[in-house]
Amino acid sequence: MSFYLSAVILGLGFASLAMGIFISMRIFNIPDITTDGSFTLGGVVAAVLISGGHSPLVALPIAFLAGAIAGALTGIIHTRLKVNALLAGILVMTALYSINLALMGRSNLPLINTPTIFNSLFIPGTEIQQQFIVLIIIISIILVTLVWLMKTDFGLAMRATGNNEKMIRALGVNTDVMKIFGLALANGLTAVSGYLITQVQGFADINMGIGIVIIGLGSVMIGQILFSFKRKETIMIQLLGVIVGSILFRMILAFALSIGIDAIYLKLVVAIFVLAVVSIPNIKSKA
Amino acid sequence: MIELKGISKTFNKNSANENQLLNDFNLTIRKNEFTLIVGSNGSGKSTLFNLLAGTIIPDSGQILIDEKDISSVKDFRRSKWIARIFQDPLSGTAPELSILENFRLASIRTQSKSLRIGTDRKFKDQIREKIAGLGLGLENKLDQSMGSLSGGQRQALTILMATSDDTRLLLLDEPVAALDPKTATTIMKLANEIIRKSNLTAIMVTHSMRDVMEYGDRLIMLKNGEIDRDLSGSDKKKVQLNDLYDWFGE
Repeated sequence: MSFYLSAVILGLGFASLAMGIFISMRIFNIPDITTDGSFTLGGVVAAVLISGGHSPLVALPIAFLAGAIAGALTGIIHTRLKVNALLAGILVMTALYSINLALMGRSNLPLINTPTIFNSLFIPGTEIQQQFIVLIIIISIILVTLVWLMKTDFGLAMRATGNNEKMIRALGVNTDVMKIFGLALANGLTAVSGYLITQVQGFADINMGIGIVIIGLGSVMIGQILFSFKRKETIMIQLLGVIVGSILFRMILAFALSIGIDAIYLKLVVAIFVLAVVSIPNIKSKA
Repeated sequence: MIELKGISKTFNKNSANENQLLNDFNLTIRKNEFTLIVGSNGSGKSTLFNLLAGTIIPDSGQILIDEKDISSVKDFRRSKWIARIFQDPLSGTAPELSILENFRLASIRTQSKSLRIGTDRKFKDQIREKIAGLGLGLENKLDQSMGSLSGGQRQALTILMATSDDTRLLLLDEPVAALDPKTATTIMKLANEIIRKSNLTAIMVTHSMRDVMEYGDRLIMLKNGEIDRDLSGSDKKKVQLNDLYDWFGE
């Protein structure tokens, strides 16, 4: 049982990342893979600051900001230097590898007997209960904020940017600035995920972000299949679907491990699984 | 009043494909005037339109709106004065946003998009009333996504959206060319009504000779980047279908 509970904890930790991917890929239609680097960046910022004696509460906004800067850089390279979005993301992700390594000073930084965001908020209960409650609180705050943002005039302009750029430019929106902001927001959320996961697992690692974009994409797709939204549902339902998708994704991986699949093949399982969820809607719509 | 003074635009300058489309082009559009522009392909219609919209910037010359020089103002900033209707009926609306949300964005075309929720009850009632005026039965579908409507419905709403905020100039680029004949007639009639009712200054590019006969105060025919014919008032009313075909043949 605790096996699945820790899967739920991880799922919630990755939900922030999944919402980030939802913003870049679904709302803005930009295939952004800065993610791998910004996720690690969030984790590195958390590990460096917390092991350096700073409060996890201070590290949270800094992690978000660091990710946002990385995302904004990708956005600037994409819109101002007219570099293909995929390539812009790869460039920033590659650069971040060195940045992350330089920040940590080594490839792995453990957090042993340091405070975490989970035990800093004076919430009673066991460690895993604290994690669960704090994660629910953080993800709820992100969810409510995003739902509100998407309803504002600014948020409508954001959604229209990914939906019909020609139209929204004619309605007076600088779509370049919008994309830069969108990628900053998406990668800020991704870094928050890295920040959370680092504290759940108790260490930051230079390779923790490898292939993480697939986890986010998989979560978004599971949410889409579950809530069968063809983007007709409200933003609230879509985001809830993404969060549930992220948790289910972890449960499925936990199940795969529990039936004895070697951990070596975990990424292979992930890839095949995501391929399945990505292609299901296509096959369905053909029929 | 819209003025183009000494506008020149050359594409692919200093290359083998150099193509001068406009050379010292002058045109004045009076307030509340509905101008139709015709001309064969390559006559400079689209260039003229894109210059007004700001998607291309002239090499030389001035574009003035009510005596304000906007020649080097970027397209998304020109939305302060100019509304545009595209030929593709799907281009003017965002399919995944609701009808109401599309109208909200159009209603703040000239303003900044701030962090406030503008789609409140009052706004909704206002838009419902406005859309009811179209007589298309869409007033009770405000929360439906734009993408669920037909091209004709979307183009009708796009035209209505263009009048949602202070519009000094409405640009229509063959607004009904992509619609079936029956819908095209209905939507064009609607567009004309909206333009007249709101006293808009409008410029429409069209290939439909029937629309030329039926609508507008002024007719401009472009040929090789120059004004070949410019007819207003009774001169425009006298134009016959045969004349138009003759002019194109010249």
